[in-house]
Amino acid sequence: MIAVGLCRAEEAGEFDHVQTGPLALLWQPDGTDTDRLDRCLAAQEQLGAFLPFSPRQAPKLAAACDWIRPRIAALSAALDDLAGQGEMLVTLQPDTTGSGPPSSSGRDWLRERTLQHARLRAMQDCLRDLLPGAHLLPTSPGAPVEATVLLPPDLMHSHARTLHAACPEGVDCRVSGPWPAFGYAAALTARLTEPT
Amino acid sequence: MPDPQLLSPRHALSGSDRTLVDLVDRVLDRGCVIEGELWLTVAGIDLVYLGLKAVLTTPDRLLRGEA
Repeated sequence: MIAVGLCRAEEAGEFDHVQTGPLALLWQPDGTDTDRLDRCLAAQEQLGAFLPFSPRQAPKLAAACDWIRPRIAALSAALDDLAGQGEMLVTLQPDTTGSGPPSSSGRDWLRERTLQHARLRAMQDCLRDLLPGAHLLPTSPGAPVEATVLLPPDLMHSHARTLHAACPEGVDCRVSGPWPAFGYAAALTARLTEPT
Repeated sequence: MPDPQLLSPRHALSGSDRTLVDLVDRVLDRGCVIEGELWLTVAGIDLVYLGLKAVLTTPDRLLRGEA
């Protein structure tokens, strides 16, 4: 059995779970990463607060229980933070159509690289301005810029409209959500697992 | 009614050209690439370009990526 995430015990309802104090650890039989992602999406849709594990790195049920027991207070507080919220994912991708053939000389390549750096900085600045508190994911020049931010689902619609309206010309803006709080959970579990 | 400016996760995954769990892995922010670039410039003329890229990840993740 593989753990998929945590919720409050009183909300677990029909999800397969084991109770650990005030928390319920949701699990499912061994399956694929995709099965676990699907279960995480269902939990996010149906529960008031859900703290997911990574579908690819989800622990076995027994190991998850052992990890949770000494951290119940911190995990309960995290669920309080997450109540009524999900993660919004914003992706800004420069439109490269019409940018011409690949560079044929080192000088052209460097010139294009400099432009990619400038575009990357502009897109990151744009996201920081529009979404204060957003977590920017690591990227590199020429690659999409992605950021996550925790928000109530109702607010995501207005933020999505604002982002599309403010998106720089020549940049494709893609906004999705509400996702389970994968980014928040990854940061939290890393913090709670650090040796003291 | 669906909001065309805010994709639901299931819709985003169905339209993604990446595998769905890869998309989640990006969000998870696990493993990262450190990239550095250095231009040596004299009198405003770029003379030398040096590009460095280091992958920071766990051996387990690296081996899974090769599989």
